[in-house]
Amino acid sequence: MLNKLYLIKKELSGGIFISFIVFCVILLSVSAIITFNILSQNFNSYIANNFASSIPPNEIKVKPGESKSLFLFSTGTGKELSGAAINRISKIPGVKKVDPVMAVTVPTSATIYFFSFQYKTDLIVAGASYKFVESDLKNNEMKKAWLKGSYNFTRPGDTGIPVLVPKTLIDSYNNGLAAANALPEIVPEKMSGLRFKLSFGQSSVNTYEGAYDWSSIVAGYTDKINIMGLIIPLKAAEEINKKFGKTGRYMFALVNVNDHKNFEPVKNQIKNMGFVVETGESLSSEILKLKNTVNAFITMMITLVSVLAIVTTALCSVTAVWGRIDYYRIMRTLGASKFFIALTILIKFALMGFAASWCGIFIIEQLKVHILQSVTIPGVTLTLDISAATIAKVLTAGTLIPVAASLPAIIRMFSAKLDNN
Amino acid sequence: MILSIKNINKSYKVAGEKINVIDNLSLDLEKGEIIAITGRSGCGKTTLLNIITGITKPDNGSISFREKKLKHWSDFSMSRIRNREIGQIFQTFRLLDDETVMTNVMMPARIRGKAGSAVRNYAIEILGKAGIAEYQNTRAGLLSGGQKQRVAIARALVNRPSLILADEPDANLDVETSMEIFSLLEMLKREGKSIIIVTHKEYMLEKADRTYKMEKGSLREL
Repeated sequence: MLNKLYLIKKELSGGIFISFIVFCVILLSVSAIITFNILSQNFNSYIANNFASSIPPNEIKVKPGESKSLFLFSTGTGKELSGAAINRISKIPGVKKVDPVMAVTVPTSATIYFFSFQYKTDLIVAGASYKFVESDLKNNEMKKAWLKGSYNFTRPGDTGIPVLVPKTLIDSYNNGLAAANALPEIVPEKMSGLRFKLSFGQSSVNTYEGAYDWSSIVAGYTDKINIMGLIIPLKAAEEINKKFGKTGRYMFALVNVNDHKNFEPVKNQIKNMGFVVETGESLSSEILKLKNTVNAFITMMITLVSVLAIVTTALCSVTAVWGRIDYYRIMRTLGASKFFIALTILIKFALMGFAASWCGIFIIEQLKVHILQSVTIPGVTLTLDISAATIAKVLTAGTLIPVAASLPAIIRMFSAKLDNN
Repeated sequence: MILSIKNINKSYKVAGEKINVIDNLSLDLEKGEIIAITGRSGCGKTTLLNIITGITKPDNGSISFREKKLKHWSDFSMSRIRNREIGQIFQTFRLLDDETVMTNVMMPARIRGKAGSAVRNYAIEILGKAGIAEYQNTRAGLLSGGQKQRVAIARALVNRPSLILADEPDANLDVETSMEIFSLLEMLKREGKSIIIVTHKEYMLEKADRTYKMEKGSLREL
C-alpha cells in the first residue's frame, strides 16, 4: 500500500506547472460559482422579502367562488367557503395546514377615541386562529388572551376582545384619512394596548336585536391578513356569529402545502372544488418574471463557468498527460498496468480538484467579513453564508469535474499505445 | 523450459497494405541459456520482444512461460508477468532521468508493492555487481551512457526475474563498455537467468549459446 501511495505521490509531483494551472482554474471557477450562488440567494431572498411576502411560496390563498349574476347585485351565488369546505381542503393529499379567516357576518362598528375626538365607523371583522397570527401578537399576555378569546383588564370582571390591526388598514388610514382630515398618523409598533369600543350587531346601515358593545384592545398589527377591517380571535368570531344565529362563513383561507411538488395538484383540486385560488404567481407575475430572468442568467453564468473549467481542465490534462507519456511508457514496461496508470492520473486530478475547491471556499469565507463591512446596499441585507449543502455540492463538483475532464487525456494516452520504443 | 513460442504471427497495416512483421515464428528457451538475435532494422526483432512481454498482442499462435500459456488479452496478467518474471533492458535505457539511480532501480519493486529493506539491500548488491554502487544517490540523467545501461540492468534484476530481454543494450556504447555489459549478462547467465539479446555486435553473437538471424518475420539459426 505504501508503495502504491509512493507512486501516486510521484504522479502528483509530476508536471507541476500544468497542475498549478489546473489548480488555479478550479480555484477561480469555484470562487465564481460560489459568488454567483450567493448573488442568486441574496436576490431571491430580496424578492421574497420585498415583493412576495403577501403570499409566500408553497402557500395558496383560497377565496369563496365568485358570484355569477346578470345584475349588479346578487344574493351570493358563489361557492361558500364553509367549515365543511375547509375540512375537505385540509384532507387533500399534500396539504400541510389550512389557516381560515372567518368573517363576522353581523353588522359591526367601532368607536375610537383620540383625546377629545371621537370617530365612529362601520367595519369588517374577521376571526383568525392563534397559530396563524401567533408571531404578530405583541406579548405573552396578548397571546393568552387570543387563545382564550377575551382579554382581562385590570378591573375585575372587565373583559375585552383582543384585536389585530391589518397593516393595510393602518397604511390606508395614515395615507388617506389622516392626511385628508389633518389627523395624527399611527405608528404600528406603538398601537399595542390601545383601547376602543366595538359594537356587534349594529352599524350605520342595520341594527340587530341583541346588539352589544365590547371593549377592545389592540394586540398588535399583522400583514398576514390584508383586509380593510379588524382581526379578532377565531373563537370570538364563532361565538359572535352564533349569538346572532349566523353560520360560520370564511372570507378566505391560506393553504400550506408540504412542498413545491404538491403545489400545482393541490391548487388544481381546490379550483375544481369551485373556489378562487390566488398564488404568488398571480400576485406579482412581473416580479416573478424578473426573478426567473435573473435566476436564468445566473444559472447560465454558472454553466458557462463550469463548461470553461471543464474545457480548460481537459486541455490541461491532455497536455499534462502527453508531457508525461514517456514516464507512463517506462512505468508500463516495468509492469504497471493500464488500470493502475489511469488510476494514479484520476487520483491526481481528483485531489487537485478537491484541494482547489476547498481553497476557493476558504477564500470566500475569509473575504466574507470584509465584503459585508465594505458593501452596503440601501434596503438590502446581504447574507454571504455558504450552506453546508452548497459546500458539499461545490467540493463534489470540484473533485469530479477534473476527474471527468482527465478522461479524454487517459483515452488519448491509451489510444496512442504505450509500446513505442 | 522457460519460454516456448509456437507459431506466432503479427502483421501491421501500413498505408492500407498488410505487412507481416512476424511470420509463423517459433522459439524455445531453456533455463540459463543466452539466445542472440540479429537482423536488419525493422525486421521485427523489437516486435518479438514486445510480444513476449505482452506489450504487443500477437495475431495468433501461443507463448508459454514456465509451461503456462500467457494471457495476452489480460493487461493485468501480462503486467504482472512483465513486472515479476521479465527484466527488460533497452538501447535507450528508458530511465527516469529526474530520479536518482536508487529510485530507478527500486521502481519495479515499488510497482510490485515490495520495496522493503531486503529489496533495497539487494538493489545495493546488484548496483555493486554492476560497478555503480557509489552513484546510487546521483540523478540518472547525469550519468554516462555506460553507467545508465548498468542502472538499467540493475533495475531489470531487482525483482529477481527468470528471463532477461535485452534490446540492443550496446547500441549506444563504445566497444569496451559493450564488452563490460556483456560480461554482466554472462554473469547473470551463470546465476541461472535466461537471456534473449537483440544485437548487431559480432562478439556477442559469438558468445551466445544460440544465434538467430531474423528475416522476413522468421528466425533462422546461424
